[in-house]
Amino acid sequence: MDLFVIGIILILTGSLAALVVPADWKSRLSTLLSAAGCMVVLGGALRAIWNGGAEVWVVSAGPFFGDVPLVLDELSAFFALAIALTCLLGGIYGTGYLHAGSDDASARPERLGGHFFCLGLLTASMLLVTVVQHTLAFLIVWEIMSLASFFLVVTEHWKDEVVDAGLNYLVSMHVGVVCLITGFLFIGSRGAGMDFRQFAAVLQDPAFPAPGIFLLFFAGFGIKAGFVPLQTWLPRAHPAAPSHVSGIMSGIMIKTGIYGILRVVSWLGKPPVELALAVLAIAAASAVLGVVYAIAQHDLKRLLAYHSVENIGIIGLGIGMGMLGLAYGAPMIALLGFAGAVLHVLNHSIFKALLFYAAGAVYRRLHTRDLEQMGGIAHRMPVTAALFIVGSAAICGLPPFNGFVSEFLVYAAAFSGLVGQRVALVLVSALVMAVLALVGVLALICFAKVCGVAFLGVPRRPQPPDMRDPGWSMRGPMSVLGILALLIGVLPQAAVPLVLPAARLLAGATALPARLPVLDLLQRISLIAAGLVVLTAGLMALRRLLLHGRPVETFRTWDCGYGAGTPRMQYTASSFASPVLALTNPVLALETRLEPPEGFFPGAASFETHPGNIFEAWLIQPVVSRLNRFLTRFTWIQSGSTQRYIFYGLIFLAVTLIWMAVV
Amino acid sequence: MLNLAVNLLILFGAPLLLVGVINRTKALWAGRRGAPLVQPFHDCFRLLRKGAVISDTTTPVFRLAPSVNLAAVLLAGLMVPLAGGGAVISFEGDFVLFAYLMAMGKFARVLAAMDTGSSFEGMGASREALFSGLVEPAFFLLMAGCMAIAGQTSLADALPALQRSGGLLQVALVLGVISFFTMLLVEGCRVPVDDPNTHLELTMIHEVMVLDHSGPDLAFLQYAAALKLVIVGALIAALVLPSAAPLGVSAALLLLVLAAVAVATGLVESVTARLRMTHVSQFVFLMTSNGLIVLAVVLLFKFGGLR
Repeated sequence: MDLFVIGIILILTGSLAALVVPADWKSRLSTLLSAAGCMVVLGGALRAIWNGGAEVWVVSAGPFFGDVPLVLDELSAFFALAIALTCLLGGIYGTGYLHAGSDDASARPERLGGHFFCLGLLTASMLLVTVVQHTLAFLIVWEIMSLASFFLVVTEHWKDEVVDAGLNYLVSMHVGVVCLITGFLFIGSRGAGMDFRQFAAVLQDPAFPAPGIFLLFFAGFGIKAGFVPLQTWLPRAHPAAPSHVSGIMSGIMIKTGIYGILRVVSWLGKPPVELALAVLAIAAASAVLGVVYAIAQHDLKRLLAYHSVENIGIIGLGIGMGMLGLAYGAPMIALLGFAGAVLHVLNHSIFKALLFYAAGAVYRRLHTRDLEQMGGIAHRMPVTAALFIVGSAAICGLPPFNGFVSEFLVYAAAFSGLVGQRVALVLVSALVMAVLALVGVLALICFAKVCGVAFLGVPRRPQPPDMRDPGWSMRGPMSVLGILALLIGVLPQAAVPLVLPAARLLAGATALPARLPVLDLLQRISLIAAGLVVLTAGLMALRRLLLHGRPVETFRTWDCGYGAGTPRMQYTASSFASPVLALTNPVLALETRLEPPEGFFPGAASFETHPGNIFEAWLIQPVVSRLNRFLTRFTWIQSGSTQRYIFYGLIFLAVTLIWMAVV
Repeated sequence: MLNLAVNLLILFGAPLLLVGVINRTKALWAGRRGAPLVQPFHDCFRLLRKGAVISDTTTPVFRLAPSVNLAAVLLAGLMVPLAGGGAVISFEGDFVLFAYLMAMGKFARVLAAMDTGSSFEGMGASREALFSGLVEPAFFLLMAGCMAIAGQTSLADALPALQRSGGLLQVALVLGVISFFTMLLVEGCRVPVDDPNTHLELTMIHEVMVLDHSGPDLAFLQYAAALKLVIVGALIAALVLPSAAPLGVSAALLLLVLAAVAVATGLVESVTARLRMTHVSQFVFLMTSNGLIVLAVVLLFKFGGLR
């Protein structure tokens, strides 16, 4: 706890320093302090995981708050680890990213103060969310987190679409907070007060409507995490924010929602089967629809944002399998499911941040996020392209990268359920495996599209003369993330022990053996992942040997002897995705605009498709427009005249006084 | 040790032979004598001895991809049950790694195709990614059925379980064989999914993806494609062959099944035309529905008391 608190203080100092020091020093000093703080927290979290057990520090915060317990248990420590890692690298990347765009208004030194203030505040509040175990204090840090990230999203506030996206985000977050407040009030009203540590007893009371409250919390935290159908803020906010903010938000901030859900799960004890099935259904829908929407996107950052929905779905499948294991009293399934979910949180924060950072590096050179305008980036930005491809393979769950390990753990939960003797568990496990496989396949198609269309081939538009890999402040964090993705993939037996304490906590798995059989499986996987690397290197060496002394020529790509191919004739992202979109059309709400060529000598013709979002079109939009229509009737209340507002105040006071007199 | 040697020999030796058998079957059906069975070996060695022509639009990805692809498929092959009732490497849940290694190979092939900047190869890449992708969920459903019966979760232990129990499970067994044969046609890029002999780039899938590869790269790609035939063929063999047989018998039976699969592939290729591109995904979905039926049958067998 001591290291954790020191780290937070360092980060907050850095955050405040950004406001007061001279303009030239803002980014450097703030990032330095924040990075130091993150490293201290990283150390503290690792130590807490290593030692096991919970470190508790109760702060007496006056008569209003009462005692605020700060608890760094196995679950908190793991999330703190992931947050500190992402924010450490994200902050360093951010300085480079803002510096690289110094022609943009956002990077003018006098603006940087506010930006780094919010960044530090976001880091500190995310870390605090994982340890504060007191209703009121939790809601306050949760709110600080939402507000800080809101201000970061609207960094480029002179653009209309950015402000739109920011407000959408802000409103979504507050819908979520309403659910959370309701849930906390309900639990508190049953005599648990504000201390989280009392909640388990309340929720496990048979008379308490625990499933309903869980769903309320699931909705509240799920909006932050981005489960369907509540994910509509995500694909707007991530593209609007600067890339390092997108990376941090998508990589780790949305995972605070997952943390919240897991925390509530830990209070539940033994959940009913139906609840686990509900979580699995929502998670499966998130995973499949997230990736389907992603395939339809041509805006690189929006595509990545939809992939967050997909990965949250995969994490949700792990949580659902964990809950199912708890419900059926199968601790091994529960352990594997939770371990997969928690490890995927870390893995996703690694490869998603990497992908956003690489996308940001491209954006800084090309000033576009449209895939159809890119192409051939690998020729001029080889390091960025290589790292993007590594991130892509990792997010598709391909060995030898880290995504495979966490997905394997979720699979392991499923196939442990398959060999059991419960028919429902067998059926659900089989379906979970099929969904995971489907999602993996679609993700592969999506990232093959992005890598192929944006990074490989030849440029579709002329590239600017300064088209090259970014400087070390951006390249360094990206490289570290890429190396981490490979390391966790090749040495899973070293990474999984980090998540097992948290998974044991959630699975209540004290009965399980200390040495888990899954670690032996991971050793085999490690062997084959390493084998893949070595064998590939061997085959490359063989290839080199075979080609040695033989003619190796370069010539243009085979074009049926046409001989006049142009970059425009390359396969486009839309064409690449079209076979999949044809299959998934019913859920896409694809909007097409076609002006067909007419007459014998047709002139201009055009064809556009715009992927929609069925949840937005069929669920959110009708509710919002109806609410709008209803609330418009009350607009006369907001007259704008001060006298009238004072009058309202008087009425309120009078009513209150009368009510108090009566009661 | 002998077991391992025999298995590796089959895994590495059989692929090109299998292609030879398919070609010979097609030739005989068409009334020709056909090329010798070992012709694919000659072709492969000739390619290995050649130089290469590399497209000037490509990046190192293009040169790396054939090696990644071959390495991934080779390692996936190690997990497939071969002779003697076991795989070279076998552990609980190895089918997940198997499927994802195959996917890694595909990812490499698709990226290499996109790297050439040719719309033909882009087309092939897009189709290959989708069609062989649709196989995967079906494969997992089939495996789920086998695992639920076997109570074991490795490829080598789960696949033989369907034949052991008899009764209603014979239905599941037949559907399983049909499904894996479908998988072979898709993964191996054979008619009716893809036509290896086609001469029009617009209609190709696998062949168009490798248009720009030459020399050792092409040899690696073709060998990996042939290896996939053996891998899926061995999955079929594991479904139908008795798992507890002496090594010699079991190796002979495996080769027999592989040959039968190759002949069947050749016959299918001789008597059917390839499907329209828009209908291929429906053909692949057959495998998914088969997988669901197998799962349903298995559940009824295991829990419903239906024999």
